[in-house]
Amino acid sequence: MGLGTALSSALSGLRATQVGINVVATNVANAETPGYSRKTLALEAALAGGSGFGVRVSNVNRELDIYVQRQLRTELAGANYIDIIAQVRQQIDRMYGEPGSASALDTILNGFTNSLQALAADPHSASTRQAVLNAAQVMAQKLHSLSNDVTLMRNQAEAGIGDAVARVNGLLKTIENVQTQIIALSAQNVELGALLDQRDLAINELAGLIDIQVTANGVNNVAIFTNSGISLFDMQASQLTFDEKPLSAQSLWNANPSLSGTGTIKLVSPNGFTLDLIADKSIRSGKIAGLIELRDDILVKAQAQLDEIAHALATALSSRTVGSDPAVNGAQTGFEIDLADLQDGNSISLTYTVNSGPTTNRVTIVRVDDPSSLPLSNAFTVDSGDQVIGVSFAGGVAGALAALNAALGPDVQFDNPGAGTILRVLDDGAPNLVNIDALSATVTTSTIQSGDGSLPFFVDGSGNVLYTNAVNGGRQQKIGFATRIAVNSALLADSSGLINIDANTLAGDSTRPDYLWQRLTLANQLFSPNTGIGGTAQPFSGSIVSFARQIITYQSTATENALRLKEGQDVVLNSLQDRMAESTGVNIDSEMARLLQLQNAYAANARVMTAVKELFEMLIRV
Amino acid sequence: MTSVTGSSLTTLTAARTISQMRDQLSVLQRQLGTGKKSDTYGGLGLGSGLVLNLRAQLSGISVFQSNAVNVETRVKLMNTALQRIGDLRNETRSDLSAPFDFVLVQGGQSAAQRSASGRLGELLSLLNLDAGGRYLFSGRATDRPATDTMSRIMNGEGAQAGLKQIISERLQADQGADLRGRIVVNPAAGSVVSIEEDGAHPFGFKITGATTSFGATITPPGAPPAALSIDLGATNPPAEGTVRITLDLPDGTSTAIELSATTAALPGAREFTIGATPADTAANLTAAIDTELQRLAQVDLVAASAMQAGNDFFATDAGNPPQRVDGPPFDTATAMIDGTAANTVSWYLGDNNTDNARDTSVARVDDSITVSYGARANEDGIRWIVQNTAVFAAMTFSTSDPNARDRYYALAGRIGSAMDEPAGMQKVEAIQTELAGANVSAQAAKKRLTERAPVLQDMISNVEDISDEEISVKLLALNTRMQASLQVTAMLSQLSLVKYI
Repeated sequence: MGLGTALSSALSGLRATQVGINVVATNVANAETPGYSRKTLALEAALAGGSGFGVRVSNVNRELDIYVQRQLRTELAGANYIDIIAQVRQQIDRMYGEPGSASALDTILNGFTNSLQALAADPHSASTRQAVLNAAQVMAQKLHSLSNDVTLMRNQAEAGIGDAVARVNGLLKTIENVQTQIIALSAQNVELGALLDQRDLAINELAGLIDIQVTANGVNNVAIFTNSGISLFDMQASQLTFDEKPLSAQSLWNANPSLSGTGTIKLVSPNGFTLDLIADKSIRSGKIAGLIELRDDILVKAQAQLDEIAHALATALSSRTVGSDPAVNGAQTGFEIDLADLQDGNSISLTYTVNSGPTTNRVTIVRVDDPSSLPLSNAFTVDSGDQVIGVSFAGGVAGALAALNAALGPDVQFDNPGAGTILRVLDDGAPNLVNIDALSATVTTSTIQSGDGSLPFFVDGSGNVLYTNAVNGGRQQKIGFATRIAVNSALLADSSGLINIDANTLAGDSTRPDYLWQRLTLANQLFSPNTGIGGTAQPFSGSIVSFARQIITYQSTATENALRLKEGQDVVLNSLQDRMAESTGVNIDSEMARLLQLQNAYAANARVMTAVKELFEMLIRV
Repeated sequence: MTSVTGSSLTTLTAARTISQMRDQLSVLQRQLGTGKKSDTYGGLGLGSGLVLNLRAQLSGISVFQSNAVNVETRVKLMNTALQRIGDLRNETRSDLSAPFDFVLVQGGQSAAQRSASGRLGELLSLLNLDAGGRYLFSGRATDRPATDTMSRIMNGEGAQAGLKQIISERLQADQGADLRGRIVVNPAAGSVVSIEEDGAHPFGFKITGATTSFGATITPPGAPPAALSIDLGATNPPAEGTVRITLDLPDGTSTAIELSATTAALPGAREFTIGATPADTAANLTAAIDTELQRLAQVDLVAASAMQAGNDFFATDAGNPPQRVDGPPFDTATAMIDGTAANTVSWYLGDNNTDNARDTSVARVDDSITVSYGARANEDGIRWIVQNTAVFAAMTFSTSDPNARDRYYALAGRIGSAMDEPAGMQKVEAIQTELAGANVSAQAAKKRLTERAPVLQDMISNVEDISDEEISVKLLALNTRMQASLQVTAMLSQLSLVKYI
């Protein structure tokens, strides 16, 4: 051991402190850099032949709590998911207007019903009549603007999915590139901290978009799967595709690409395997899952609610019930009904008892003239206990008999006595296996002077198309009706239709306005469970006004819940981020303390060198 | 969501807490400005359903209240009109309390008739009362006045007959061509005196019976056309013996031919001379009956015919058009026919249906309460007053006519007693009572709703509003926290080792 050794040890000490200062400098410089993890210097004694030979920088460590990192990634997915949902839920809530304001949906609907009541009190006043028409138009416009808002939000969600998918692809490519470099460099034993930071930052962002699992795949290598087990990255990155489409109120997602009105997300793996991630329900959390849920469920329900209001408004004011008369044919008894006014989409209700049970069967026969929409499922009607039969009446009653008899015969028999518009339903006669209990039809009034209170007040679109909820191409007229509902232009042109049920109605007759008012406020009807309100087995039953209130309450409660979930999620995420910051973040104070240490160490090493130098000088002078 | 991994802890927490507090501050600021807890239903939390329900009720209340106010205004106006109609009836009645004063002042009419004419004008204008363009006595036909003009009602126009023409035609039919009230006086056959109606029809006198003070044999009238015979028998009636033949008049009243026997060769009015034989007496009696019949046909029959003509013209509704004498010729007519819009003025122009007049205006004053407050001018209680006032105003008299005074008395007596509605007929006061009842229930409902409105408003406020005190306290607390937080953050940022080395 000589002075030379001491000198070189001091030199190694100087070198090590320089590296140390460099690490501190990098830490301080990156104190606020996202994704940067604090680096620490690992020193070890340099040994030469079993004896100390100064100091050596063994490694620059990356301070990382793997456990917190994994938890953080899981929570990032959840937080992004609830964040986007809460954001749009708030928009929907806001859409329904400030409580009590003139533009709130309930205020407008109340205004419409009140205007009818005012008209009932003052039927011949032209200004009161005009007020009803104005209120109805405001109502229709409100439904238009609400469903336009919903469609806009759905389009934003669709575009959001497109952006997110593009971002996912970008991130996967980044991860692939960085990982390739990491693998290449790790063989050369180069400092990898910065690259790992970069890779983990990309993975964290990806975790916010899709719920992923990251598994270690050897040293410094990872593989990324979705939580559902689909591989996104394993040495090579898979890519996602998304066929973004412009959406209207009628555009709905369908697993069959030719029927789907919306885009779908497909995964293309490096070996060419493709998978529809939406059909496979592979994306369960993260921003993309939130956007899909908004596009395909939350906003679809919001649209369905508006359509249901529009549907209920139109049908409540325009439909009337046609009764039947008892009919006998030999030993067979039953009923006959005049179907002259049965429109496409209208329905006939038939109740019969099978005596062996006895069981009572309810059958709803729906007129569906478009053959491609047949057969109808039993879920077509809101009533869950009925059998639904879709039948074309394009060939009149006579043309529908074959299909009806095929569906319910032979114990229940349909015929067309007199070849007119009369449909006769008879039981089996002498064997007495079946009794027909009741028969009626609900039809849409097509003329304003209909002879009773009902009238086609609201129609489908500006072309005055009668709204009957007809089914065409498998799609009910109801879908997207809120975007098209309009006040009958014949009423707008001549407001006397609000009063005149026939040509002889007197100007002060309040029959019709009071009927319309009662239909809106007092008459109960069933509402489709597609709206998210009420269940299939027990649909929501109430007046239109109460259903509209229910919608607002539903949306406001959902918003409130989403916000509360978000708050909870934020607390979890924040605490994880705090812990992450604590374990991996840069603390300036400790960096400064380290800097002091390093300065001292540097000074001490330098002092050693000075001492060695003096010793050498003394030696030379000797 | 930006990834914050790796950022330093102090900056992170400080930024987060301060921005959260800023958000809270802006929420409190909005609440302070608007006084409302939230600007969306979502912000009301569980209260939103309640508020929606309460608001719907509250907005319903306002329309029900305005309905009740409408009912009140309209019923008040109607009541004023009906009150005046009742007063006009009472004035006519007091004008016509006997003794009557037969002095013609103008156009062949007495002062009482001139007043009646004026009252008719007032009645019609009361019935055409409108409240903001809504005619109150037209039933459901609120867009048109209830009655036609007085001139058209009285005089008709063009091909359409008015009351005066109806009266004149009816009078011809009632009096008959020979002015004997459609009665044929047969020549005496021996001791038998007989008269008979000239056919089965609703016109003229209807023979209902006869009595004598001396026991003559009377064959009472049978099925229409009725005939009556009085057989004096084998002995002459005694002096002062009386014969009384009762006749029904078209308006349902009755009169009688009352004759007494006299021995004077020249009988006075309503007397017949006892002849040498019962056959002679029978001839005298027949002549006396004929004379008296012609006099009654100029007096009671004219008044009764006019009263009935008034009924034919005024008592109309959807099922009962005005009735006209089937003619010409009218003096031999045997039936009434329905008048048409083309040939007869319809005095009432409103809603002609026959359902309850009250139900022609129905106002909903609460979810489940409706009040009926309509009225029609052709309701009996109103129509009766108009009809009789009009008939009185339509008739004219001439001083040169010897029967004019008696005829006037017959008419005035009938009109006067008609002003007390016959038993069982609706009175105008009954309409007033019914309307008042409707108004009372409307006002009761309104009062209930008026009391309810502030309660609802209060409940809405409880959910929606936030008190200034509460916000002030919150603001104060937040302010303190923010100041402290900012100060600590500032202090912490100063407390860096960087400053000290």
